Amino acid sequence: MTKHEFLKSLKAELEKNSVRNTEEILADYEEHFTHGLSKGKSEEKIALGLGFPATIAKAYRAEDIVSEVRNPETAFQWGLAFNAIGRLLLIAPFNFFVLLIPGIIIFLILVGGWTAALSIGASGFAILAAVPVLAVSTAKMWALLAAFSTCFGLLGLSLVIGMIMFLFSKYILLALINYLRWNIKFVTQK
Amino acid sequence: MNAQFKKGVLELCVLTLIGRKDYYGYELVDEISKVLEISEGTLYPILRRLTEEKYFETYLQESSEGPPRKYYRMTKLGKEFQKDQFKQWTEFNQQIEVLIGKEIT
Repeated sequence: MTKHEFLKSLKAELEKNSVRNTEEILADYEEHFTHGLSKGKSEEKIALGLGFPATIAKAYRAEDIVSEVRNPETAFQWGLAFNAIGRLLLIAPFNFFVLLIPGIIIFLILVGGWTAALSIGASGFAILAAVPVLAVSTAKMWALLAAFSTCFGLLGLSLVIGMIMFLFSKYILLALINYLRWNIKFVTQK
Repeated sequence: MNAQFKKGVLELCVLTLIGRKDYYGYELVDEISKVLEISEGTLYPILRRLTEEKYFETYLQESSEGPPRKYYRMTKLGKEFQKDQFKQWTEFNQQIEVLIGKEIT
């Protein structure tokens, strides 16, 4: 048998035995031929050493069956499910008690920070809106200046707090996502 | 040697050899068929299964002579499996010895 005949016959036999990843397997035998040829063996001799394509294909089929028997997925999954439930129960009290207090504190900081930023900003805008009224009622220059500076001061402060809260919220959110991911990984690992 | 004998031991041989150093397919087949009379083609199915079961990893390496070689490297999981299989093999041998003895009778 030549290399071509061998590979063609092996391909047909593999397909007949419905073996997976035929291309990869054929590549292995092609490499075998190339190495044999570079060692000075003839194609016929290499093919003879390899054995019958039909036998080889049956060996692949048999190996597929061996790995199915060794890793019986259906039997495995019950154990896996119990394992996951066990881990969930293990991690639940930890999540509840240990994270409850920091969780509440962080939540309060978030709510408080954003409320402060928004209300300071809102009061700044309120003063800004009151400026024309102020300008009509009292023509005093210092009152107008005071109103303007307070207004911009408040808006600036609001922006600064807003930026800080934005960054803080972003990191908290990222940390939360990572933590949830870790939780899922912990529960679903084998 | 009896074909049935060989089948069971071949896996242990492949595991042990690759445990010692990385082999490429042809080299391993060559090494084993020097000692055991086997159809060389039947070693590749074993290699593939052990790789699929994560006992080996493969990597390609160019060589100055000839085509690139697909090397097999043992994983940590593979090492454990090899140890376990080796233990089972020696225990099995001892049990059979108890039954049939060492000497030809």
